[in-house]
Amino acid sequence: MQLVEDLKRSVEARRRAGLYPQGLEDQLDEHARQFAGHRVAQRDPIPHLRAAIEEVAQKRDIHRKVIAPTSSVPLGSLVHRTAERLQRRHLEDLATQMEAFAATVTGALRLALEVLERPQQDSQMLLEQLDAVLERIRALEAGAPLGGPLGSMIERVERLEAAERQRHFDPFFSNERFEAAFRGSQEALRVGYADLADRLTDHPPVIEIGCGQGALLELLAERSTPAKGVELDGELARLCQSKGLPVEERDGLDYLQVQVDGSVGAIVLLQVIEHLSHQQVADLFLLAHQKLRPGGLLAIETVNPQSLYVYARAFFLDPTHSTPVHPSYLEFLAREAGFSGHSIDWRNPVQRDEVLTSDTEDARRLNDLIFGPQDYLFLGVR
Amino acid sequence: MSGIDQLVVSASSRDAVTTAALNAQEILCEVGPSQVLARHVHEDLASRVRRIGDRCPLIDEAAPLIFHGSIGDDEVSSYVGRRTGPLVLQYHNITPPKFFETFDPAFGQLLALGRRQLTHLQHSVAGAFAVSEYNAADLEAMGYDDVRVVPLIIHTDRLRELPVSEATAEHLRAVVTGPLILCVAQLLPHKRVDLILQAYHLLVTHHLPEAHLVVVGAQRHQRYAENIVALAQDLRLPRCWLAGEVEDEVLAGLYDRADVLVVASAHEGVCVPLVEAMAFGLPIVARANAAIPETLGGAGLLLEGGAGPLLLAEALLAVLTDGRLRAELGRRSSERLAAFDPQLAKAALLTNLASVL
Repeated sequence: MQLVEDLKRSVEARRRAGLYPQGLEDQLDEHARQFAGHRVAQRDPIPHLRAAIEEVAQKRDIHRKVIAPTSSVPLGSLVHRTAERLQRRHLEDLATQMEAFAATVTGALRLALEVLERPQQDSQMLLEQLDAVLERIRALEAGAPLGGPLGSMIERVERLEAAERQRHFDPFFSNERFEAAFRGSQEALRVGYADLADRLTDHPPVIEIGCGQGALLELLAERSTPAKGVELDGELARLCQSKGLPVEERDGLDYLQVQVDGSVGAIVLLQVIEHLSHQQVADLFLLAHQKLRPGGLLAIETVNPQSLYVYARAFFLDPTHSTPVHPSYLEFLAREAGFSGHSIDWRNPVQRDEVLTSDTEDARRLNDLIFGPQDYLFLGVR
Repeated sequence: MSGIDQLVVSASSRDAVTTAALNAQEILCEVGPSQVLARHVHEDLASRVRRIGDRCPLIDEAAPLIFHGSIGDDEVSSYVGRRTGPLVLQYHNITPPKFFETFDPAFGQLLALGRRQLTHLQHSVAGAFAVSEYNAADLEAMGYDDVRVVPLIIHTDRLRELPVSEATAEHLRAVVTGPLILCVAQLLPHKRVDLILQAYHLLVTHHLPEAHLVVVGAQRHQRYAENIVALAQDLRLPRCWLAGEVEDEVLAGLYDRADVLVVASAHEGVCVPLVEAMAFGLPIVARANAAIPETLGGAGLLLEGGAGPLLLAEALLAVLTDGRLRAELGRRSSERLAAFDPQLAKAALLTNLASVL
């Protein structure tokens, strides 16, 4: 509305002309808040009580001369003096008793005042603290930075949340599509893991952590070996379930945790360990040792970090790979966790047309370093 | 239709919700016996409103009931649940608790309770009415559907026809010698009477020292009212009269004499004083909050909802010193009154009741 705009301009003009002092609105706000924004200060009866007690204290001394000796009647003064003399002892005694009583009452009243004042001081202090808190909340709502330990904690949490957001990976494509593109067909996987499946038939029940599309589980089912798959990716878990495979969607370490100690025949992780954190890898060994029965197997297949070819062609293909795990480190973990034995199978050699063909010592050493087997299968025996 | 009862939480004269129920009773009585019931009844209404706790043979608990929802109350809520007849909710708005958060959190909780109770009631009602579009939207936000706008029955004609109290007329003649700003609002935080006092302070300090301000309104919250009185005293406002609750004859006299009505509320479900001012052709200055723009419907000088005391003072100055603007706003006020014809409102109530009962 044009009129309202004109009014606003008029206010601005007055402000510029100095009619309204700087900060006038803030002053008005603060002034109104003092009166209307807070709870009403209760009328304080304590000072009145204190004054009343002091008045009592001042009047504590009883006036003993109750009969004025002066009189306009003849002989009146004599009568008064005589009467006073006759009553003096009684009056003195009475007055003394009354003074003692008044002193006791005054003392009691002072004590009562003290008792009354204490909670009032406490509640006043609480109200002041409450007002300070309200003040602070208002400032925070108005966007003031939050200082102190709480402020630094919030900052830390925010930093962690930001880091977590950066770490979070939830791509638009499915793991199934990714595996189909880079891990080979299911048929190829079945061929590749047939020997492992044969080996596992002697170690039921088998738990496969990160079972993917279930190639190994299928092989075990064909061999009537009891097995259970655990898969974190819901889509893959459902795919396995649709094939009739016993697969649960959950975290593998959590699943292991709830198994009965010494009840598991074999624990298998194929191309999984390179996705785990250092802590999870270490925990896995301890947990596996606890859950496997004596003679049970911990089978871990992962990329071989001793082959430089792996870095050029395989490892960085998968953005969810965390760290390559060295076979010697797994051997160390097995020993430390209490496994009785272990072995390493080197798997997936580089195709012959890619390796150096000259038959020299240098070429052989380079082939070992650069074109070593792409994966290895670690087998720990409980 | 058989007789239809009405229920308000608290009945007192010059309370907008009670007045609405009593006005509706006039038309409902033409249909059948109709009681107005309340949990709390002020003594001056004891003959017209029955307490829900009292056993009364005249009350038929199977009769349809219009529940005027305005605040939370457990006893009212359980009474509504006990009635066996069809239930119609007439929503007058429940002030959002945030206005009482700092000042009186306990009262704020009562308001929040009212909102929760209304939310729970939605599956028990045969019909949901709201007294404004704004209130209808509020009710819909609580989950109600098919909320119908059934306007308040406001008998401004009766206020207009009241003989002005002699004492008031004399006082206004003798004391109020300059322009008169009128504010009709209960002294409650969301009515923002504090802003009006500040604007008036600026007006008389810088522009129009001869202006008078009269604030009429029940002091429903004793402690807050004391705060506002203390604020006015501290601002040393020379010609400001916080009149408290006044008789209708006095109110009529003030509307008649006033030069402008000012409303600074941050929240209103309808704002009856706007309609009363229209009946007197009074120019209006208001802030555009909640249902106020809807009630004004283009009448009045409408400032933005967050307008502060400087802009309010400027608007009052413009209205009080510009005769043409005052006349134009007065004309628009009078024209707008037609939208609040009590006969139309009564017809709307009956039509809507007939369609849901």
